[in-house]
Amino acid sequence: MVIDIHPGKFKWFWAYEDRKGSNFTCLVIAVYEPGALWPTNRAKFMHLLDQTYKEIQKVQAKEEKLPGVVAKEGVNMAQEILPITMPNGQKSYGFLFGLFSARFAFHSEFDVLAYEDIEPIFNDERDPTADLTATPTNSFSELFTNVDAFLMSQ
Amino acid sequence: MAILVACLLILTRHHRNERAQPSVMKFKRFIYVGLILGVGLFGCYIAWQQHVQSFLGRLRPPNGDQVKKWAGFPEGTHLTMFTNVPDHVWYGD
Repeated sequence: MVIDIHPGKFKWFWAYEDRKGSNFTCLVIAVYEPGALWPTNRAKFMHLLDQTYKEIQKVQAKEEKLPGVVAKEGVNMAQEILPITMPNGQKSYGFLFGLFSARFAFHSEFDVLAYEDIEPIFNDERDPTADLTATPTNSFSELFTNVDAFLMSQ
Repeated sequence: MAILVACLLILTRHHRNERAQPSVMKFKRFIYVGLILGVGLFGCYIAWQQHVQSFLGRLRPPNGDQVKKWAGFPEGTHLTMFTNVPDHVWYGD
Protein backbone atom coordinates (compact mmCIF):
# COMPACT_ATOMS: atom_id res chain seq x y z
CA MET A 1 0.00 0.00 0.00
CA VAL A 2 1.43 3.37 -0.97
CA ILE A 3 0.47 6.28 1.22
CA ASP A 4 1.06 9.81 0.08
CA ILE A 5 2.63 11.50 3.08
CA HIS A 6 3.42 14.76 1.36
CA PRO A 7 2.95 17.28 4.14
CA GLY A 8 1.16 19.77 1.91
CA LYS A 9 1.77 23.42 1.10
CA PHE A 10 2.81 25.52 4.05
CA LYS A 11 1.79 29.11 4.64
CA TRP A 12 4.81 30.20 6.69
CA PHE A 13 8.20 28.59 6.93
CA TRP A 14 10.74 29.62 9.55
CA ALA A 15 14.13 27.95 9.83
CA TYR A 16 16.70 28.65 12.54
CA GLU A 17 20.20 27.66 11.61
CA ASP A 18 23.51 27.50 13.36
CA ARG A 19 26.02 27.01 10.58
CA LYS A 20 29.69 26.47 11.28
CA GLY A 21 31.65 25.91 8.08
CA SER A 22 30.16 22.96 6.27
CA ASN A 23 28.31 21.81 9.36
CA PHE A 24 24.87 22.87 10.45
CA THR A 25 22.04 22.37 12.88
CA CYS A 26 18.70 23.61 11.70
CA LEU A 27 15.31 23.77 13.37
CA VAL A 28 12.37 24.23 11.06
CA ILE A 29 8.87 25.43 11.93
CA ALA A 30 6.20 25.30 9.24
CA VAL A 31 2.72 26.70 9.71
CA TYR A 32 -0.17 25.50 7.53
CA GLU A 33 -3.73 26.58 7.00
CA PRO A 34 -6.11 24.32 8.95
CA GLY A 35 -6.42 21.03 7.10
CA ALA A 36 -3.49 21.77 4.80
CA LEU A 37 -1.02 19.55 6.65
CA TRP A 38 -1.28 16.15 4.97
CA PRO A 39 -4.29 17.25 2.96
CA THR A 40 -4.57 13.90 1.22
CA ASN A 41 -4.79 10.62 3.10
CA ARG A 42 -4.51 12.28 6.49
CA ALA A 43 -6.68 9.59 8.05
CA LYS A 44 -4.47 6.84 6.61
CA PHE A 45 -1.34 8.61 7.80
CA MET A 46 -2.75 9.02 11.32
CA HIS A 47 -3.78 5.36 11.32
CA LEU A 48 -0.26 4.38 10.30
CA LEU A 49 1.17 6.55 13.06
CA ASP A 50 -1.17 4.96 15.61
CA GLN A 51 0.05 1.52 14.61
CA THR A 52 3.66 2.69 14.86
CA TYR A 53 2.99 4.09 18.34
CA LYS A 54 1.56 0.76 19.45
CA GLU A 55 4.64 -1.06 18.16
CA ILE A 56 6.93 1.44 19.88
CA GLN A 57 5.09 0.97 23.16
CA LYS A 58 5.51 -2.80 22.91
CA VAL A 59 9.27 -2.46 22.25
CA GLN A 60 9.52 0.19 24.95
CA ALA A 61 7.96 -2.14 27.51
CA LYS A 62 10.53 -4.81 26.64
CA GLU A 63 13.49 -2.40 26.69
CA GLU A 64 12.53 -0.95 30.03
CA LYS A 65 13.27 -4.31 31.59
CA LEU A 66 16.74 -4.43 30.04
CA PRO A 67 19.71 -2.97 31.88
CA GLY A 68 22.24 -0.63 30.28
CA VAL A 69 22.61 2.79 28.75
CA VAL A 70 21.67 1.71 25.22
CA ALA A 71 18.31 0.38 26.39
CA LYS A 72 17.63 3.63 28.24
CA GLU A 73 18.55 5.68 25.18
CA GLY A 74 16.13 3.58 23.16
CA VAL A 75 13.37 4.24 25.69
CA ASN A 76 14.12 7.97 25.62
CA MET A 77 14.08 8.05 21.82
CA ALA A 78 10.77 6.21 21.75
CA GLN A 79 9.40 8.69 24.27
CA GLU A 80 10.28 11.50 21.86
CA ILE A 81 8.13 10.00 19.13
CA LEU A 82 5.03 9.11 21.11
CA PRO A 83 2.09 11.54 21.14
CA ILE A 84 1.90 13.90 24.10
CA THR A 85 -0.80 16.12 25.53
CA MET A 86 0.65 19.58 25.87
CA PRO A 87 -0.09 21.87 28.85
CA ASN A 88 -2.64 23.76 26.73
CA GLY A 89 -4.62 20.52 26.34
CA GLN A 90 -3.75 20.02 22.67
CA LYS A 91 -2.20 16.81 21.45
CA SER A 92 1.02 16.69 19.46
CA TYR A 93 2.29 13.73 17.46
CA GLY A 94 5.89 12.81 16.84
CA PHE A 95 7.55 10.87 14.07
CA LEU A 96 10.93 10.48 12.46
CA PHE A 97 11.53 12.86 9.60
CA GLY A 98 14.44 11.13 7.93
CA LEU A 99 16.83 10.47 10.80
CA PHE A 100 15.63 13.24 13.08
CA SER A 101 12.71 14.11 15.30
CA ALA A 102 9.64 15.83 13.98
CA ARG A 103 6.41 16.75 15.67
CA PHE A 104 3.12 18.24 14.54
CA ALA A 105 -0.19 19.40 15.96
CA PHE A 106 -3.56 20.35 14.53
CA HIS A 107 -5.44 23.44 15.69
CA SER A 108 -8.64 25.08 14.58
CA GLU A 109 -6.79 28.10 13.18
CA PHE A 110 -3.59 26.49 11.91
CA ASP A 111 -1.59 23.28 11.69
CA VAL A 112 2.03 23.29 12.74
CA LEU A 113 4.93 21.00 11.90
CA ALA A 114 8.42 21.29 13.36
CA TYR A 115 11.49 19.20 12.72
CA GLU A 116 15.19 19.29 13.21
CA ASP A 117 17.66 18.93 10.44
CA ILE A 118 21.22 18.09 11.42
CA GLU A 119 23.92 17.24 8.94
CA PRO A 120 24.17 13.46 8.90
CA ILE A 121 27.43 11.85 9.93
CA PHE A 122 29.22 10.11 7.08
CA ASN A 123 32.08 7.73 7.71
CA ASP A 124 34.08 8.97 4.78
CA GLU A 125 37.74 9.45 5.65
CA ARG A 126 38.36 11.70 2.63
CA ASP A 127 35.65 14.13 3.68
CA PRO A 128 35.17 13.83 7.43
CA THR A 129 32.16 15.51 8.97
CA ALA A 130 33.10 18.41 11.20
CA ASP A 131 32.12 18.13 14.84
CA LEU A 132 28.96 19.98 15.69
CA THR A 133 29.89 22.97 17.79
CA ALA A 134 26.37 23.45 19.11
CA THR A 135 23.55 20.95 19.42
CA PRO A 136 20.20 21.28 21.19
CA THR A 137 20.29 19.82 24.69
CA ASN A 138 16.56 19.95 25.47
CA SER A 139 14.18 17.33 24.16
CA PHE A 140 12.47 18.05 20.87
CA SER A 141 9.03 17.62 22.44
CA GLU A 142 9.90 20.38 24.92
CA LEU A 143 10.92 22.69 22.08
CA PHE A 144 7.75 21.89 20.15
CA THR A 145 5.53 22.47 23.19
CA ASN A 146 7.07 25.92 23.64
CA VAL A 147 6.71 26.78 19.96
CA ASP A 148 3.09 25.63 19.93
CA ALA A 149 2.25 27.61 23.09
CA PHE A 150 3.92 30.70 21.58
CA LEU A 151 1.91 30.44 18.37
CA MET A 152 -1.34 29.71 20.24
CA SER A 153 -0.86 32.76 22.43
CA GLN A 154 -1.06 35.16 19.47
CA MET B 1 -26.98 28.82 -6.54
CA ALA B 2 -29.27 26.48 -8.48
CA ILE B 3 -30.82 25.28 -5.20
CA LEU B 4 -31.37 28.88 -4.10
CA VAL B 5 -33.09 29.78 -7.37
CA ALA B 6 -35.24 26.66 -7.20
CA CYS B 7 -36.30 27.50 -3.62
CA LEU B 8 -37.16 31.08 -4.57
CA LEU B 9 -39.20 29.89 -7.54
CA ILE B 10 -41.14 27.45 -5.35
CA LEU B 11 -41.81 30.09 -2.72
CA THR B 12 -42.90 32.71 -5.26
CA ARG B 13 -45.23 30.25 -6.96
CA HIS B 14 -46.87 29.26 -3.69
CA HIS B 15 -47.29 32.90 -2.64
CA ARG B 16 -49.74 33.38 -5.49
CA ASN B 17 -51.97 30.70 -4.05
CA GLU B 18 -53.67 32.50 -1.14
CA ARG B 19 -55.53 29.44 0.14
CA ALA B 20 -52.67 27.03 0.17
CA GLN B 21 -53.06 23.51 1.52
CA PRO B 22 -51.57 22.81 5.00
CA SER B 23 -49.07 20.43 3.44
CA VAL B 24 -47.99 23.19 1.06
CA MET B 25 -47.64 25.63 3.97
CA LYS B 26 -45.52 23.07 5.79
CA PHE B 27 -43.33 22.64 2.73
CA LYS B 28 -42.96 26.40 2.43
CA ARG B 29 -41.92 26.68 6.08
CA PHE B 30 -39.40 23.90 5.54
CA ILE B 31 -37.93 25.75 2.57
CA TYR B 32 -37.74 29.04 4.54
CA VAL B 33 -35.98 27.40 7.49
CA GLY B 34 -33.62 25.59 5.12
CA LEU B 35 -32.78 28.82 3.31
CA ILE B 36 -32.15 30.74 6.52
CA LEU B 37 -29.98 27.96 7.94
CA GLY B 38 -28.10 27.57 4.69
CA VAL B 39 -27.37 31.28 4.36
CA GLY B 40 -26.40 31.44 8.05
CA LEU B 41 -24.01 28.50 7.78
CA PHE B 42 -22.46 29.87 4.61
CA GLY B 43 -21.99 33.25 6.30
CA CYS B 44 -20.31 31.57 9.29
CA TYR B 45 -18.04 29.60 6.98
CA ILE B 46 -16.95 32.77 5.13
CA ALA B 47 -16.42 34.65 8.42
CA TRP B 48 -14.32 31.76 9.80
CA GLN B 49 -12.20 31.65 6.65
CA GLN B 50 -11.57 35.39 6.95
CA HIS B 51 -10.68 35.00 10.62
CA VAL B 52 -8.19 32.22 9.85
CA GLN B 53 -6.54 34.24 7.07
CA SER B 54 -6.34 37.28 9.32
CA PHE B 55 -4.86 35.15 12.15
CA LEU B 56 -2.26 33.61 9.85
CA GLY B 57 -1.43 37.03 8.45
CA ARG B 58 -0.77 38.37 11.94
CA LEU B 59 1.16 35.33 13.13
CA ARG B 60 4.72 36.14 14.14
CA PRO B 61 7.57 33.64 14.50
CA PRO B 62 9.57 33.18 17.67
CA ASN B 63 12.89 35.01 17.50
CA GLY B 64 16.26 33.26 17.45
CA ASP B 65 16.90 33.82 21.16
CA GLN B 66 13.60 32.21 22.12
CA VAL B 67 14.26 29.17 19.96
CA LYS B 68 17.81 28.96 21.31
CA LYS B 69 16.48 28.91 24.87
CA TRP B 70 13.70 26.39 24.15
CA ALA B 71 16.06 24.04 22.30
CA GLY B 72 18.76 24.35 24.92
CA PHE B 73 21.57 25.64 22.72
CA PRO B 74 24.69 26.91 24.52
CA GLU B 75 24.86 30.62 25.34
CA GLY B 76 27.33 31.59 22.63
CA THR B 77 25.23 30.14 19.80
CA HIS B 78 23.75 32.51 17.28
CA LEU B 79 20.81 31.21 15.30
CA THR B 80 20.13 32.77 11.93
CA MET B 81 16.52 32.75 10.80
CA PHE B 82 15.47 32.41 7.20
CA THR B 83 11.92 32.34 5.99
CA ASN B 84 9.52 32.42 3.07
CA VAL B 85 7.91 35.57 4.43
CA PRO B 86 8.07 38.39 1.86
CA ASP B 87 10.71 41.07 2.46
CA HIS B 88 8.15 43.81 3.02
CA VAL B 89 6.90 42.08 6.18
CA TRP B 90 9.28 43.14 8.90
CA TYR B 91 9.57 41.00 12.01
CA GLY B 92 11.73 43.43 13.95
CA ASP B 93 14.44 40.89 14.72
